[in-house]
Amino acid sequence: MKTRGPSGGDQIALLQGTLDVLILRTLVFGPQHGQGIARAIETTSGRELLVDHGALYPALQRLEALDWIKAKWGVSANNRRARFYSLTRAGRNQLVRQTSRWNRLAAAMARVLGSDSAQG
Amino acid sequence: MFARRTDKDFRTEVQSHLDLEADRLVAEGMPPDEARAEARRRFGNVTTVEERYYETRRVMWLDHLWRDVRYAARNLRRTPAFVVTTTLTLGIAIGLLTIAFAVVAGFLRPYAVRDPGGLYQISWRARDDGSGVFTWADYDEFRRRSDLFSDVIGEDSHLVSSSTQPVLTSFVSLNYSDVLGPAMRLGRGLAQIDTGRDVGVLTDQAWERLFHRDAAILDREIELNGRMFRIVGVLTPEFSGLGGQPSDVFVERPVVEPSGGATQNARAATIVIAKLAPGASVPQAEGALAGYMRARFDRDQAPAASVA
Repeated sequence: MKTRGPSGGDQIALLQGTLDVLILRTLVFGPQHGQGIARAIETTSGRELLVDHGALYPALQRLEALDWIKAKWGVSANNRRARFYSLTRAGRNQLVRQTSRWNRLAAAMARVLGSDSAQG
Repeated sequence: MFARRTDKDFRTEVQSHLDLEADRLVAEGMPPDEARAEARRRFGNVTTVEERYYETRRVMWLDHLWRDVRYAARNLRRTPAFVVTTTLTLGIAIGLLTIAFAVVAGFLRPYAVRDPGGLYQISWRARDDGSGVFTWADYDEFRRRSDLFSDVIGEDSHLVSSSTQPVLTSFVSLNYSDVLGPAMRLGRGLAQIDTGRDVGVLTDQAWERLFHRDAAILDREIELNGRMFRIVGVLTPEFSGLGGQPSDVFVERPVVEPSGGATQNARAATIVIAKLAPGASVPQAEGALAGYMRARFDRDQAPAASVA
């Protein structure tokens, strides 16, 4: 069904706090606007992760307020004006720290949930 | 340095997002009219109170687990073997303690509260701690700084049991409704006259879920952890609190006992929103708050040292 939105499937809803680290990760590849970030997360996760477009902007603003990302108005590939976000040095450090934390959490979850998921 | 954005700038960005998403859908073969409607739907429809409610309910348990894990880690650091590490970590952290002000308008949908423009959410973080926590004792300190803030509100949400059902309860300062001014469907918001009284205000979703939209809801009671609270108002669906998860009911915040245990206080994560006093600036408030938090760090560290 063409008109069905991303919420129509059974993708995994993003956990609080996950979105931050995914945004930082996406920006490693260079400046990107909000819509591009949402698309990048959805496609690189093999469409398993669903980004609530409306929730993306509070997250972007929070990261900007923390000086982990900075923003600048620019022009998109198809010639539309868009606000582009890029990583700051603090954001890069934060990404390293949060990535190891999420890996630890994921590993711990796999251990708790049993050998099936740990092997899988 | 964090520069405040205008509402217009933010609206332009949202419009730009909708255009880009519509462009993409058109490129995939969707007719332009349909693409625009679809882009708007993707942006807005998942933020409706009901959907968000169910989504967040599902993630809440993990969220709590994470908090509990963090708590356990903190306790671990108090044991003697970890004392040296603790001291060093804190020593660095104090130097890099930061206070951030975020304009609240970006976190609230524009129609949800009366005047989101002048409100700032205050947050802080230390170097090795993902998120700083404010306690009600901190809130009381900020409230005293009338030179910096003309108003400060606090909110702290917990799941409590109501007749065996989990109910997300927001404990708020009694100036909460007065400052935010959310629209009421029935009755009134909490007010100073409610000090020490067991009264509560329901959100629309709780009114529906727990009371099936009973039109004669006012003065009926809701049980929260074995205590009865008289319902004095019901909110419209547009507002359900400032926390990540929409709340069910609002009641008065707990009163902080001066001798209250530090551990108990440390677990109460309070959202703090302030309105700057006339003449006070953001950098001024940041400076004062950073000083306060540094002093608090030193104070919190003292009992841990004596345990060792």
